[in-house]
Formats: sequence, structure tokens, C-alpha cells
Amino acid sequence: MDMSQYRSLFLSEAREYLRAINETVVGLEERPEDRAGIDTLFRGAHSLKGMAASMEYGDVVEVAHRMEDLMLRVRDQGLVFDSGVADLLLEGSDLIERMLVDLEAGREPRTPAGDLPERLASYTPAPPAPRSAAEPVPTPSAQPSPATAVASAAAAPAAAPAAAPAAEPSPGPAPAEPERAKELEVTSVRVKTELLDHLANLTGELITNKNRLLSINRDLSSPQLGEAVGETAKLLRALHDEVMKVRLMPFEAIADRFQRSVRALAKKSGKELHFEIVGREIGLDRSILESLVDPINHMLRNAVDHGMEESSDRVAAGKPARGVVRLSVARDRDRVLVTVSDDGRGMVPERMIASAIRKGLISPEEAGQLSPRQALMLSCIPGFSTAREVTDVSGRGVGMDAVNASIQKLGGTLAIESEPGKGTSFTLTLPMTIAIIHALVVQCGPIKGAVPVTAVLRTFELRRHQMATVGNRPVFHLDDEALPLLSLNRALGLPLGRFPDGIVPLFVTEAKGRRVGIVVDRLLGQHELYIKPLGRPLSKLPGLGGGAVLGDGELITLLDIADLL
Amino acid sequence: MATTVMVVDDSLFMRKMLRDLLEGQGYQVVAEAADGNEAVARFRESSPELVTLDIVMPNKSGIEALAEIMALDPAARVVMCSAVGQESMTQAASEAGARAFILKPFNPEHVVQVLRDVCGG
Repeated sequence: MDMSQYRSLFLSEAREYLRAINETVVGLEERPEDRAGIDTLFRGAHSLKGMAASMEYGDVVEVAHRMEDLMLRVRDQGLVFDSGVADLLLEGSDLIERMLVDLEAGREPRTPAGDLPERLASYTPAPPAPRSAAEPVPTPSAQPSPATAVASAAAAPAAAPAAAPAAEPSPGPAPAEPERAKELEVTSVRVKTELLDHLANLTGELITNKNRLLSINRDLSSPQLGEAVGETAKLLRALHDEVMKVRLMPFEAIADRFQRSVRALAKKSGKELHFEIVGREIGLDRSILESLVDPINHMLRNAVDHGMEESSDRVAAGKPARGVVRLSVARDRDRVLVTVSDDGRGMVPERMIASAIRKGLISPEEAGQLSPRQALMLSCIPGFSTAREVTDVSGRGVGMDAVNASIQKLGGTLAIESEPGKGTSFTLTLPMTIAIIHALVVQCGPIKGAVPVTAVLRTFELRRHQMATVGNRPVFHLDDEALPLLSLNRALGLPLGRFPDGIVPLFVTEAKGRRVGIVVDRLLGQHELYIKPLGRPLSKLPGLGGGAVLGDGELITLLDIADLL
Repeated sequence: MATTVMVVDDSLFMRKMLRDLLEGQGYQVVAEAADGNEAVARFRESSPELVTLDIVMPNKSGIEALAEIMALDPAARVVMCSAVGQESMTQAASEAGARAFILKPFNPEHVVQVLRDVCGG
């Protein structure tokens, strides 16, 4: 029997099982007696073993087999599901995942199983001995002590959002059973992602062409052509929406790794905390989803390492000993909000300001102009904080400039809210898709540039008297904040604009953590653009996010404002 | 007339493989099920002449589903799919009325032979 035809099915289903295993392990650490969870782990390892055996992937079989045996001991022989068991299972799951990567690439697994099968087979729980410095094998993880941190996913599986755990008389449903695959089989087909990219590409080209027809008809002024193009535009919008929907993947697809990383962080820092993920079912464009992993990990690391207090400090402050870190995803029209929040120590704006002045990042004069909100955003200025200083100064800030930069690359924005003593939340606002975007088109000298509307907070036409200067820098006031005014012409190396009628067009965006006004020669309006990546060497230039063609055939560049300034 | 079969396994991969194998041998796969509950429901609906039934499944195990299927139709021809190390279960399945066993990973010739024997007998 030719098994190669089953390889991709094997890989995708094996990964579903691994994901279910990872999630269930983390859940079981909080409720080790949950029978449904124990059964799920046993079955997951068992199924993996059977499938891998059919494919004759001996290395995978061996690891899965030992995982299954370990779970059998938990299920039938009274072995307690402690963090030592959890660690081994997660290690096994990671190892199998690496093997799958090799198998997917069509090569023999290069990752040796090493002594993991042996450790899975011979696992014995560490005796609850008193902590001793002379311990031969330092495995603090194997000792359930109050200091052992537990991270868990309390969120219900996406497939059963209505299931209220409290109303469930039996142990709750096991999270994320891979059996969903069965329903998918009947009503869906598996499609290669390249094909989806291709469809999106063709749709984008069609939209560019529609814009061209519109532009031609501006000269011809034919009512019939106008009507036909209008109808085509409607159909294209519907097609675009459908194609983009197909490219959407639920947040679930990357949620699992955050559980893993928070669990590891909590363990390492010895903090007791509860981690929950909300909104796993929310869909995002796959490319955005991939680009979100690092920024979210960064924010979670900050929340656990710096935002969260030690348990003793929390109790002293009258808070529950166990802190809560939350990752939530929500949909807001055509945008997606990703929020990382904690109930930790919060950030103190005054201290942020003092620190920024000390480091020479802002002048005391500028500092006087900052609203509390702007002060929090100082954490996103490159060089604001280093790991060593962050905890005593602000509790935040490691790499937030990197997070902010990558979110802006995606056409999104970052906002921070914090209350000292109560906690902090970071909210990313992102477009659902990136290839076809709505953009504000602006003119600077001879150049037309586009800025994603998701990155534009407002547009203005400012009279000269509405401008002021703070320390010889021009600013203007918006909602009681003094926003610096920057010239896009200057950033692009073009002669500065002249505004003979005294009206200065600008748009407000966030750059390096601050709201700023960007002055341009003209605001040309909003366009639907199909953005394509630029080839080399243009793609190496800072500030260029891609290119698009306007209806009249004119080329336009997508500007990455934060990168330009 | 082709013999009608229901394939029960919680793994889509396993079901697909078995279906392909059986259809290649002229069987007609009329139903699939991914857990014990579904197996009983589908059996009721489609009354297949032959059932391949996995043992380890969520919600209701193959052994429990077997008992219910045999209660619905004492003449049902059910072949259990089991893995090495499940000997205690195979004993229970035999007592509950399973006709035969096929062992995972499947050996196509062996599977074909076992099913032929069950259908012939």
C-alpha cells in the first residue's frame, strides 16, 4: 500500500492531536484529578502511536508509545499527574513536533529521541523531601510546592463556546478533541495555502483593474460603462470579502504556544499565576497571525516577569496571591483587537517620565507637555528601558519598541492602559487582512504615498494660529495633549511644503509610542489598494511597506511612517 | 452486490486509510463514525453488513459501542481494531460478540483476509 498519499493527512491530524495534548496537559496541572483530561491525553498518545505506526514512522511511534504508557499509569495505576508528568509529556509533544517538521520536509527525523523514551518509561515522582542544596538532581518542577507556578487555560474550547463549565455535572468536556476533523471532512476540502495566496492575488489584480476602468470612465463619462463598472465593483467587493474569509485562521491556531510560554515563564520566575485565553475562535489573516507570535510573546513575558508581583507582595497589598494574566482577542468591525492584560503592579506615569528625562530621551520641557497616556507610551521609545532597570522603574518596557514597530508594520496600533496597583493592559488593534487595504493617499512634492487607514487616527487641516511651539519644536493641541508636528516631506528628503493659503494638511498617527501630527502637502483621500511586496533593492529601503497601482496606472508606495521618522 | 461497511475510528487518517483499502477490495463504505455514540447512531441508520470498530475512542469506547450494537442486532458482524497490548480488551470484546480482530498498524492482506472470513462465515 502506498502510504505517501496519506502523509499530509497524517501530519495535519497528528498536529491536532499534539495541540490537544499540549492544551490538556496545561489544564490538568490545575485540576490533576480531571478524568476527562486524563482520558484525552491517553487517547491522544494512543492515536498518534497508531497513525505513526501505519506510516512506519518508528521514531514517532516510540515516543508516542511511551507517552501512552505513562498516561496509562496515571489512568489505571494511581500515578499522580504532577508537574513532572506534565513536563515529560510536553517534552514528548515538542519532540514529536520536531520529527513531524522533518517528515514534512521529506527527510528522516534528525532529532534523536535521546533518553526521553527511557525517562517517560521510568518516571517516578520526586519524594516530597525538604529542599536541600545538595540535591543531586535539581528538579524543583517535580515537587509540588506552594512556590510552583501553575499556568492554565481556563478558556472553553472554541468548538463549545456555549458549554458553561459550572453547569456541567460531570467533569467538563475535554478540551479540543481532534474529532472535529470528522465534520470538516463532509463540508470542506483541504486547500493548499499557495492556492489561497493565488486567489487573493488575482482578486487584488481585478480590483486594480476595476480602478483603472473607473479612471478611464472619468474621461469617457459613459453612463452605461459607469453602471457596469459600479456593478463590477460591488461584485469584486463581495469576492474580496469571501477570499479574505478563506484566508482567515482562528486565533486558536497559535494560542497553544502562548500557554506553553506563559507556563514556562511562570515556572522560571516562581510566580503563582493563572493564564487565560479568550476569543480563540476569532479569525485573522494567516500572515498577520504568524507575525503576531513574537509581539504577543514579548508582551506576555513583560506581564509575567515585570507586571506581576511576587505572591507575598500581592497578599500584602490585599490582592489574591495568584495573579491573572489574560490574552483576549476580539473583533471590532473589520479590525481585530488583541489585548494582553494583567492584574499586577501597574505602571506609574510620573516614574516613566522621570526615567525618560534621566536617560535624555525627552527634555524636562517636553515632559511637562505629556499626558499620563503619553507617559505610558514612553515605554515604546527605543532605549527607554533595559531589562535590569525595568522592574524598579516601571515594571515594563523590555522590547516594547520592537513590539510597537512590528505592529505598525502590520498596519496596526498599540495602546497602553495602566492603573498603579491594579494592573496594565496592552491592546493591539490590527486589520483583519493585509493584502488589500484601505489607505489614506497623500501627496508630498512629486510623490504619492499611502498610509493604512488603520494607522491613521484622524486627519486635520490646521490653520497656522492653531500651531504652537514647545522649545522651538512645532506642536498642536488635540484632546489636551500637545502633539509634535513632523513633516513627511522632510522624512522623505523632499523640499518642505509651502502652504500659501495658510492651511496645513496633516494626519495623526502613532509613532514610537507617541501620537504625532504628520504634515503633508495634500490629503488626496481614501483608496482601496492592493499592496504587493517590493522587490529588491527597494524592499531594503527603510520606510517602504510595499507598492500598489492606482486606477490611472500611477504607482504608489505604502509608507511605514514609524520606520521613516 | 457489494458488502456494505461502516468504519469507526476517532482518527480521520485511520478512517480514510481503511475506507480506501476496503473500497479497493470492492466493499461499499456506507458510513463512518468517530466515536462510540456516533457508531451506534450510524449503525441504526444505515444497517451496514459489516462494522470495523476501533476500541480507544472518546465519549463511548468501542467495547461499550459493541455491546449496544449487538443489542440492536445480535447478528451484527463487527470486527474490532486493536493495538498490541490491548489483550484484556480483546477478551472482553470477544465475549460481547465481536467476530474478529484486526491489529494496528494494519497489514492490508491480513485485513482483507479477516474481513473475507467474517463475511463468508
